[in-house]
Amino acid sequence: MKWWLALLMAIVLTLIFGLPFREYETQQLLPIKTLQAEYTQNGIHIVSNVGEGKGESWQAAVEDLRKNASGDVFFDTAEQLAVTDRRIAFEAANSHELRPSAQVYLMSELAPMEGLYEFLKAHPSEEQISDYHMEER
Amino acid sequence: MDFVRQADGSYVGTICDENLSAIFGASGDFNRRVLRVGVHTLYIYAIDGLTSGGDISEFVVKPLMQDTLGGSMDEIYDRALHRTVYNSVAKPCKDLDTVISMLLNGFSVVLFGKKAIAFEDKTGEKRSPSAPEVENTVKGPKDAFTETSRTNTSLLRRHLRSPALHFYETTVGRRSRTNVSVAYLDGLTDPNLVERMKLRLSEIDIDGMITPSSVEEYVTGSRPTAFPLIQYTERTDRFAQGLLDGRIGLLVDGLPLGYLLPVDLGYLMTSAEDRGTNFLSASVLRVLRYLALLLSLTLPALFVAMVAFHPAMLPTALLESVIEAKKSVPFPTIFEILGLLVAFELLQEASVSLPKSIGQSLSIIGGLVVGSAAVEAKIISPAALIVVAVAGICGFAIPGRGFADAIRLWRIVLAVLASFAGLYGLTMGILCLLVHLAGLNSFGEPYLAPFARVSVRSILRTRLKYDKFRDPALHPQDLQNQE
Repeated sequence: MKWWLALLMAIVLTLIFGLPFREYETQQLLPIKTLQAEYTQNGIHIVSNVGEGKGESWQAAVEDLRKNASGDVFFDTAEQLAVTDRRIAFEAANSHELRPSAQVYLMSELAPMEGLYEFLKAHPSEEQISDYHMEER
Repeated sequence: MDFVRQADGSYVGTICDENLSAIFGASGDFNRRVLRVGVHTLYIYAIDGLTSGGDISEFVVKPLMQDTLGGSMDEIYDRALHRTVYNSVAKPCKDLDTVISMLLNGFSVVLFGKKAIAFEDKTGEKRSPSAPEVENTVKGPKDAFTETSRTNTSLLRRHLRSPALHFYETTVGRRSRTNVSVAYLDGLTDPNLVERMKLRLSEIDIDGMITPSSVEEYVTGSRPTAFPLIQYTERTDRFAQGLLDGRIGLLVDGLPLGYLLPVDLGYLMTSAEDRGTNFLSASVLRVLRYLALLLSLTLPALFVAMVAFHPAMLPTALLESVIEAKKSVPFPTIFEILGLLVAFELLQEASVSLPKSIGQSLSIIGGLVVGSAAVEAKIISPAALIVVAVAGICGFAIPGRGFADAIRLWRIVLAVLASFAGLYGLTMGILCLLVHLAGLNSFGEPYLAPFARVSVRSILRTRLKYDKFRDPALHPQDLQNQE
């Protein structure tokens, strides 16, 4: 078979059956750097550098955050997750929204977002989302 | 008239005035003169412009007219060939086709009944060797090939004053009858290579071999590839070095180039400057050139894939910069990059076709003015412009133009594939390119030979003192080039 025919077939098949990733409108992206989350009476409240979201579960709060945001919220860039309860970190790890290397911080309460990224960056955590994946297993 | 023009462009018939007048008579630059020597009539023919009228008068006509010994036509012929005519080159012509060939190559032909002698009276009007225009170097010789094959062979002789330097000469082209010379070093070059080239040339059946493509495509077998399977150079020193390496050369009358075969990716990535500079500098530059090759080929595709499909793979700070730059740009990254690549190619194409002075202005207007205006107007993002410009500049660092052109083409192909399927598409494209390159060979030499052998000397410029052996892949008869 000609090499270009094989290439064409591979491209067509890939496009028909779909790729394991999607295309982004770059200008619409809202990359998250730091996430904070706490339990509230109604569920989980998450606060990020691109907006806030509330819901009964982590997933619902994330959906709410997406809905309220002015663009395409991009969780893959999140480097820090600050939680008031470790159970939230487990939920976040289960959702597979965050990258495994995102650092997990335990805080007593939510802090102001301004300057938080730089502060946490200066004080690296020993825990990562991947640790919660392992515990989950 | 009893001549026949055959399918291969040669003529068959008797050597006589009627035939020659019929073949050339209608041409305005064909000169025919009748001479009376004693009781005999001689005819003298020449093509104006190819021959020097003064030389013909002085060194052919004058001695013939001064021959007063008389005798038969055969005696006059014999005296002209061996005694009376003191032209340095006198070749008896055995048939009509030889007469025609001699006339077309700057000889005057004198007809003695049914016999003919060709005397060399080539005009001195030809372009003198000048400095190379494309392969400029700071150091090294400044003589480049010209359009005249004989000038080129003489230039080579000055670089290689060896009796082993042989030129096998033949004509190619039914109508152009182009002189083609195969240059090789006897006792060094693989005889199979020479024979293969001779066979390839004898098999070429073409109207005219007057353009570089006609040489390149017919000699290499016209493979469906954008990559050059023959290396050209305008530098005589580089050509001579190629012959010393055990390669064969090809000189085509009318083309100010010399071709070298076989070729692989390693040869195409070497520059004429490599042998003119220190081995360390040359080696570092070669590594840089390979880096430039990679960047030129993959950078736009990589940018499209990373930004449009895999932004998570970019450092957050960089992604933020890209997003910020693209905030007001109305086009998706894919169209932006593809549009810029096409614009870059158009700009390059336009500047090539224009005179040098206007071409420079076009580059300034196109590259600087339009580029910065487009960024300021937020039609394109600065990041995309930088990526395409870097890829373009890296492309110019590739020494061989033919190879650089192939990379330009594949750069667009990879960008299109990346725009369909991100890194997956890019990886597929690179794999296809590698498979394609691995399937190419030039006169039996695999295109990726330097990487197959993991030969340092093909990638780096080793110290000449330790560069004792020629490339074994070329099967030279004499492998060692120094003690």
